[in-house]
Amino acid sequence: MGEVVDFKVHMTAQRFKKILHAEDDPDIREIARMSLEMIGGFEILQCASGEEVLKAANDFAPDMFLMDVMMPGMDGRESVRQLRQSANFAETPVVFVTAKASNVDVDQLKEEFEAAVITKPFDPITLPDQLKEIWSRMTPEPAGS
Amino acid sequence: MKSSLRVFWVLSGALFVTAAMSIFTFLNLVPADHSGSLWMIYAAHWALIIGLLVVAFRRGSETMRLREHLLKSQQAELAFREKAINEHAMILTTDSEGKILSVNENFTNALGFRANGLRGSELRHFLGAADSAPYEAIARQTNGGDVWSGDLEVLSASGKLRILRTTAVPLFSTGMGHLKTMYFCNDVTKQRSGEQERQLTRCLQLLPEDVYLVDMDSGKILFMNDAALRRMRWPEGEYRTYGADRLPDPFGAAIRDLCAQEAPTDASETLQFLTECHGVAMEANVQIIETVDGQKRFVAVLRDISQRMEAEATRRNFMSMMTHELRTPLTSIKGAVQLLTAGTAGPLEPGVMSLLRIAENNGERLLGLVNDILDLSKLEAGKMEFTMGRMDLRALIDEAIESDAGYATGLGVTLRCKSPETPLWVTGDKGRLLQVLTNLMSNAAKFSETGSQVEISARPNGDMIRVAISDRGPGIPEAARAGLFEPFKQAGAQDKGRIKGTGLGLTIVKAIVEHHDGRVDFVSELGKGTTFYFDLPQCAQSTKTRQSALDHAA
Repeated sequence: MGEVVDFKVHMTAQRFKKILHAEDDPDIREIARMSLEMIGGFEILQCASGEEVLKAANDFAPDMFLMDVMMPGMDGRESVRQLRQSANFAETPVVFVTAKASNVDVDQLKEEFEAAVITKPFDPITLPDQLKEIWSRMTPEPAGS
Repeated sequence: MKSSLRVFWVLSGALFVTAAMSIFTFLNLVPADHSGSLWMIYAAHWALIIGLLVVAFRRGSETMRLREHLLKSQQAELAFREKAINEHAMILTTDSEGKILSVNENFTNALGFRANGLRGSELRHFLGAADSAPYEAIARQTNGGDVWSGDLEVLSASGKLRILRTTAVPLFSTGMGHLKTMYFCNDVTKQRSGEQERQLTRCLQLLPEDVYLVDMDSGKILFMNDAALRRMRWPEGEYRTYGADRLPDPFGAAIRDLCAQEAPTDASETLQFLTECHGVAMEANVQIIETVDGQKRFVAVLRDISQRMEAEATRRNFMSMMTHELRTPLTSIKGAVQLLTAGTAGPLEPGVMSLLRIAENNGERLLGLVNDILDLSKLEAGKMEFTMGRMDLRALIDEAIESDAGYATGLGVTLRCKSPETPLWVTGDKGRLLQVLTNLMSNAAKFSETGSQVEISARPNGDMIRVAISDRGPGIPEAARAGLFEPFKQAGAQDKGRIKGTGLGLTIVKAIVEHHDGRVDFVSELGKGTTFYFDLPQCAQSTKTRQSALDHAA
């Protein structure tokens, strides 16, 4: 847990390390993994469903959730709703990935979850930078505490 | 008559005998010894004559009295008839030319005119009827001595249409010809409108929609057609005693609100709203109508739209499924190719690289096609969402140039913009207008010769702002104009190898621009180039000009 001390004093790039990615399509999971690990240098945990996310979240303690919206079983919205109830993840940045490019859907996601939204297909080359930009926007500089 | 004749003959006989006797006596033709009895006879005759004269006189005065009595009763009868006719009908008399001579009280009362005002004016003028044909027919008939019967449409003093069932009777006198014409009229406006109402009711019964006629003052249901009765499951004879409060909510509530409105909605507009009746989704169209006698009613027509809603929901689901299902594999394909070309999986041979570029380009193209088809189907279904806001078109053009610059550079084309110093305010959906701009710019770049320029300009044009995008490409033949904005039409697509597009771009551009109350078109000269332009309405006023307007006003 010495890492937690470092966490607060390090630069953005160093404070933002772990992403929990939920996506039911294995091919997209693979591409996202390559993009985030090989290009972005993140530590990634991937889940195929909302239920898996809820099981793994506490142990993995991610800095960001990257959530597919439409998944069989528990979908992205419902998983985030449940994650938000836990004190650990009440403030953790959430980025939804959706294949629906409807303005209404996007606005609704942003509003309800204070989340960012990336539409599919995403560009795996620029995805890490996009997430870093979102993360620094959503995480205010820690002040004292 | 016979008795007076008898009296006449008896009297004449007596007079004759008396006269003869008087003559004999006078001429002394009567023997003297008979003179005494003769005098007796003589006197008796005179007495008879006097008696007879008295009887005749009395008889004569009785006849006179009887005659007088008869005449009086005839006059009373006539007066009675006239009174009865006057009570029953509206009567008007004109001369043979159609000038009004007199009108009865019924007539003036019914139409609100004053008798004095009418006298001397021409019938067809004062009644103000649009159709003068019946008056010509009346003139023809009555001048020929015939009676005319029919319905006259006239306007009352207050300008309301009245229908008079009329009989026009000409009066002729020997030697004088056609003297005058008498019009006997009855106001049948109500019966006629009743007839129309019955016809209307029959039509309404045939409609598959539910129809209600509600009196706005009392809230009473005046009419329901069979379809409405079936939905309510109300017995036919009873609904007339029901008020609108018996209608189930939320439809009933909407109707009661309408009845309770302080200032009723303008009768000329139709209200349309979605509601529910016994759990069935309905679309209601409500029209307020005013009857001839000023009662306010409204007609509500309800259409069952549950099937339509279902179909729409199915379509929406299908669209969103399609979006998802098409984009998911594309994400993988494009992502995989992008990772490979970026060298994420290690260095690549040049040959492999060029093949990957082909895959990448076509993945891009397929994605464009998917997006365009989705946009188009949304536009056609009226389901495209527009988030309208106020913006400076110059900034939007800059953004579009920035986003298209890479593509243009790849084709060896430069994008150059000429826009004014002052802002160009428009109201629109930023994303969609950007789509219009990038689409027209990439089109222009696509059709430009390598090394040439695409010029973009924006300027106020009357109430509109005109944005023009000019290329120095091959131009568009006039023959291609007609279909250019239709799906999958691309002028010159077949003879330029590198030109690839979905063929939907211009169709979408047109639909988006028109949704902004704008217009898109082009001018082109073969071999010289093409200018596509679109006009958008200027935003009412910019803050600055509004301020100066206020200054002017002050």
